[in-house]
Amino acid sequence: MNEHPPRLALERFLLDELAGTVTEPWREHVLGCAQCTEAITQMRSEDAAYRSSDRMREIRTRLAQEARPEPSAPRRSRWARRSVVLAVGSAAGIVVALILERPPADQLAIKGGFGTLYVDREHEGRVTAATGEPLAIGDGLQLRWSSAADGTIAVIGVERGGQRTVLYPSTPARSAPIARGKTVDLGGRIVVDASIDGARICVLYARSIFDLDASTTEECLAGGPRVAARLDLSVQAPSGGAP
Amino acid sequence: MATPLGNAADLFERYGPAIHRRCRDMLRDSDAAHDAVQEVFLRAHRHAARFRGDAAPFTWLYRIATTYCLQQLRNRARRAAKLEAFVAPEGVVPDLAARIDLQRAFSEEDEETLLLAHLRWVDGLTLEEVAEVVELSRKTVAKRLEDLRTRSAARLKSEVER
Repeated sequence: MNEHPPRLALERFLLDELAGTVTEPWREHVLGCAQCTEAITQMRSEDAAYRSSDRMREIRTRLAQEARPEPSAPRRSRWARRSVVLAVGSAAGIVVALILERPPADQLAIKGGFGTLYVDREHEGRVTAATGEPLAIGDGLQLRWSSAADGTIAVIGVERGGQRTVLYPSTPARSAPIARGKTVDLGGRIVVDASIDGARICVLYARSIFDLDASTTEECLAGGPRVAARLDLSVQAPSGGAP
Repeated sequence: MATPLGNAADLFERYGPAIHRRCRDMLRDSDAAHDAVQEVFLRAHRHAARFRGDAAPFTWLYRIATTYCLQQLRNRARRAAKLEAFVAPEGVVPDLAARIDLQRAFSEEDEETLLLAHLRWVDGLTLEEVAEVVELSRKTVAKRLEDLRTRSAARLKSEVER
């Protein structure tokens, strides 16, 4: 037997679940060992910190969503209630929009077989329609991908002045698959400058991270079979007579 | 959904911190551990029907967590070079030599053998303790680990002779 119990035995001790397991003989050791007692105290304090963390709250929410049964045929009263909520919500939205004197957010949505690419264009501090309009220098572009397929990874590439960049996944460590129905931000905000004229943004569907390699960006920009959405950008030349 | 394991949310309340510690210790990455905990409990929820009740719920979750983290470590080893080739700026050559050992260990053995090896040689569990976690007999565990030792020795020998 080792000098000190394995982590599994300490966890069971902490949970008071040693009884009836093959690690039960460690109980006496833990009770009489200063080092193990200290380890248990440390674990207890870690548990308390984790229990009050945002991360635990996030997982609670996710599990609650997962555990929720599929909705059956909606009851009339529920829809009636929802209609009221929607009506009140819409009215409130209109009032807020009027007060702020801002146009409603208008998104460009490029729907592909594997999901939808949403593009918000910020022009002179406002979000405006991006469809078909040339961009202006200084505009901002926010890109989001909403996946319609499970276990996929959306990759976005930008070809800009001959340079090709991969915006998502931004780092290998955060390359989690995107579940169906989940929306992710793609690479933050792109600020439009002259070099983006003629650039192409594309989203590529891949089953897993293993399907990505050095040729993926090429395939994405060239329009291979896995390309889910593409967007060609053009920039409006500055008007006016300024030299 | 209520399962023989109990409600998924209740399981998480009771065992979440311990499973988080397990994932964090194995993956050594806070974000990855967070994702792993979520995945472990989602898997437990989705596969609750497979829980036979022979082991305690914690033991079952511990096994799911260990298997999941080993998969992640295996994936990391596999994709490291690929992804670096994909995202690395020009002129940066990934340090492949440094990964060869890890990559080999993770690529040449099946998932269950890797789980047994990790529990026995990394966690330091006894054969009885490993057997309890994986729900196999002590004899089977001993045999599988002995076979692994034999294979490793043969690989090493062939490399030395090459």
